[in-house]
Amino acid sequence: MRNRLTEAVNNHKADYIEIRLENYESTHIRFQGKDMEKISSSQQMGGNIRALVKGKWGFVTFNGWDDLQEKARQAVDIATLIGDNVSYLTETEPVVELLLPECGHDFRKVSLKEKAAMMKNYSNIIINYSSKIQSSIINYSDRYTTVYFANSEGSYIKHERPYLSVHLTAIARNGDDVQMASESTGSTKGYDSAEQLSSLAQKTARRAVNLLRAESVQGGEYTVILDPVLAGVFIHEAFGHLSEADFLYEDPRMRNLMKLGKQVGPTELNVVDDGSLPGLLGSAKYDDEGVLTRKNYLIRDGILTGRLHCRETSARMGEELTGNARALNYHYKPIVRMTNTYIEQGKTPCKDLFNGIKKGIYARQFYGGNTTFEMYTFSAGEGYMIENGKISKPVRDITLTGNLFDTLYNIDGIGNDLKIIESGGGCGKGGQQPLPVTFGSPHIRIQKVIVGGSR
Amino acid sequence: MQQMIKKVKQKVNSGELFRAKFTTIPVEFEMNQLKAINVEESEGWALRVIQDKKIGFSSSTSKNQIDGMIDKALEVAQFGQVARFDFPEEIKDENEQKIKLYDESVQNRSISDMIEIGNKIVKHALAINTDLRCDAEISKQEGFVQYANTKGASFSYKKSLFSQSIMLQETKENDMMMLMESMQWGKTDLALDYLLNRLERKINWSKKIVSIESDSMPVIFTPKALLVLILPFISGLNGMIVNKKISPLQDKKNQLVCNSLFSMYSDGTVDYASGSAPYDDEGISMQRLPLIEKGILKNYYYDLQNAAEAGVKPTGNGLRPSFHSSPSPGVTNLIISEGKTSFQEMIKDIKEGIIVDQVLGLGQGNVLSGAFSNNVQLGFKIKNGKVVGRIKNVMIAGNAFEVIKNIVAVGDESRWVSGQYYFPHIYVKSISVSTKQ
Repeated sequence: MRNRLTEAVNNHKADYIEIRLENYESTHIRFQGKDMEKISSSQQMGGNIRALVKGKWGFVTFNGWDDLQEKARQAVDIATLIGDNVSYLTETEPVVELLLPECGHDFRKVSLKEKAAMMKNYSNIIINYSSKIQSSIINYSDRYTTVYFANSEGSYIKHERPYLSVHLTAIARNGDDVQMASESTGSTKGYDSAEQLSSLAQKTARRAVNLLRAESVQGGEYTVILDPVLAGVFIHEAFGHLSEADFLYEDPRMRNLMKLGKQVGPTELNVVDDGSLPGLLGSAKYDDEGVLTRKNYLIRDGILTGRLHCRETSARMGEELTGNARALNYHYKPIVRMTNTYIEQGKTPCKDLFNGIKKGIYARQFYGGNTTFEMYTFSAGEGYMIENGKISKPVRDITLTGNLFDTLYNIDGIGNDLKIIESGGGCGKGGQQPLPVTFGSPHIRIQKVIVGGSR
Repeated sequence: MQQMIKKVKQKVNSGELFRAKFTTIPVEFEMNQLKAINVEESEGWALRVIQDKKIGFSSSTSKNQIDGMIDKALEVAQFGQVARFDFPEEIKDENEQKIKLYDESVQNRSISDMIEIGNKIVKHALAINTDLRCDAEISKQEGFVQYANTKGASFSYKKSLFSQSIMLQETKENDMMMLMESMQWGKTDLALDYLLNRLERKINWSKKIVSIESDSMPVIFTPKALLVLILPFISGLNGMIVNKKISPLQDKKNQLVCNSLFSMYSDGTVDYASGSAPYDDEGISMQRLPLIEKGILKNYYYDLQNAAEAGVKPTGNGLRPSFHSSPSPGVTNLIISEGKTSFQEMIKDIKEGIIVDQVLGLGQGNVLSGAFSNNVQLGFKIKNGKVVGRIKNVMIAGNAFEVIKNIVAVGDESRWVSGQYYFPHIYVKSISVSTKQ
């Protein structure tokens, strides 16, 4: 295999070429209510070749693994057609390595029958929780991917990546009012994580039923406390994406806005992206350009200290490599992505964060989040009013929004209960979705957050 | 295909093969410059079987895997959903001649032509304002879909798509304005100037940032922003959601569910639209299906399985989001009928209100319930019948099923959004708007 790949990328007139071949097998199971809705098995084999000529890229993707040299030539040809400048790429030590996963219970050895029975069990737990539960949706996915990577600088990496996710959704109904709650889990460690979700299924059903009782939140500006899930989503969505250098490197105004050394938050605030943490969804020894991953401080003591790079952005900005070039699969080129992103542990016990809040919102869990540069929005899956420092009635349909820089400054409490979340969802960017990542945080308190809602 | 179907027939009671093969060539511009050219080839095969009345499904990127696919599909079928339908014995080709999906102009458009279009877009953007950042993608796609089943029915068709998408961005200290427009069509005759003019108008409106008070007020949704209100209808009218009794629109057939100014169709028969085809992905002819007419709910949309479960005819909405997913109900092209009011007249009618053009967080809340709560990523304030500037840090929230009941006017000029939605401007009486105090 190594020879095939190496032959394909050598002897071309290009500044750089890389090839990535992938083979994957996957299983999907979907229950809706009592019924098996879908069950399927898929097998894919494909690859891509990326060539850099005088500063411009040619990128070819394909199914099957045939005619690799011809495809490399095609990538070089289209890059040559438009190349008109100098190529930038930070040097990295070529590596040759075979990476095997630390897989616990290999899901490929678990029968379909067993997987289906397990998901049916979760579906039943949800449906039987209450007469208010109208339906459930259980989505199980596993895939085992083998990736072969080689480049014209002599790197060759074979990497096996197991991935599994389970999404649990409970749908509660009262007349025309339909409410939904979801929980999920994702893992790179094998089938074990799919086996212990009974209490999560219970929790999902409970949340959906509770939403029926909750009133829609009243729109306005509030002091909010975010749980580790939502705070993690916030730091990923609102701040993390701005740290991705591919948005910045060519744009002088954006570079100015994200100038390193700038104070962006309170001195207690530390934010990290770390792809080298062992065994998490966003982890890998090397990124998809064969660069070693590492711990990167994005904010330290409230000061902007780092950002995330691929080899090209690192060279263009003259900053160190961080190991953040990632591709969803062989259909896509590696772009700058987060890995495991979190707010570091603070000092305040969680319960003290509530002290002194006259009227606020305790927002938990999430439906989703989105960002365009400095503007962010994310939706809570569950929430409560805070009145005079105490949690009071449940509220729903909570979407928080604001300007990132204002919001970071308005963080005035960081809890001491850091939690990293391994959810079954993932991050989306440039059509590459869902990329496995983790995010996390302790509970945090933020002043003056805009919440959308009725009036 | 036929040989493979023979193989399937030897081992399986009833089965169908679906194949999709497409080549896409996007030319990418980033930060006012040509950045990359991609050539993306993809091919996929999907096998769905009904064995002992149960459904099995497997897919692969290679036809050489057919034996493995059959074995997998049979294995999976042991635990599969009970089939309430069988594959069609005959596929009527009434649509095939009529609907135009493929045009050679797409294939003939050379990469250097596409680069030229990109350059023109960048040049135009910088002529509006030299401080703008312009990203663009010009893309051509062509390929085919093939289908055959063990009952002897089969179909195939070719399809082409040409698309142009533009993102403009202006960055100032603590303010970024982002504007996106795209067009997609089966032919290359996209009216670029029309799109550039629209961009220019919005950039001019954006120059001044104006403040707004939290309140309930009239809102005009542009075609691009209208999905905020339509997504809950897409999910609520889905036959599978209705069968599961989790749709707020169930049991409402032939009842008034919206303002009578509102009519919406799922129409897979529009020439060159990206959701069109002679058949859905299960071999049922696509049609113009009334979903809502003059505010009255006319139909839910179905695939074979869910139509059978509901005891109704399939509607030609059995779609596969990709070759490795089995069919489920989906909308083809969504068409909202045009009304009588121009965008200008809507603006003139408003004393104080907003135009919503782009939102953040589309579909991220509880879509099923109809609830929406979105940041207005790009929006404008109207004061005394005039657009006075751009608004920032503003949220709109409400329930789409309620809001659609309060339509004041429907625009007299629809346009294609993403090549699949033909939407007019919609002006609604009142939506809750929250902003900084």
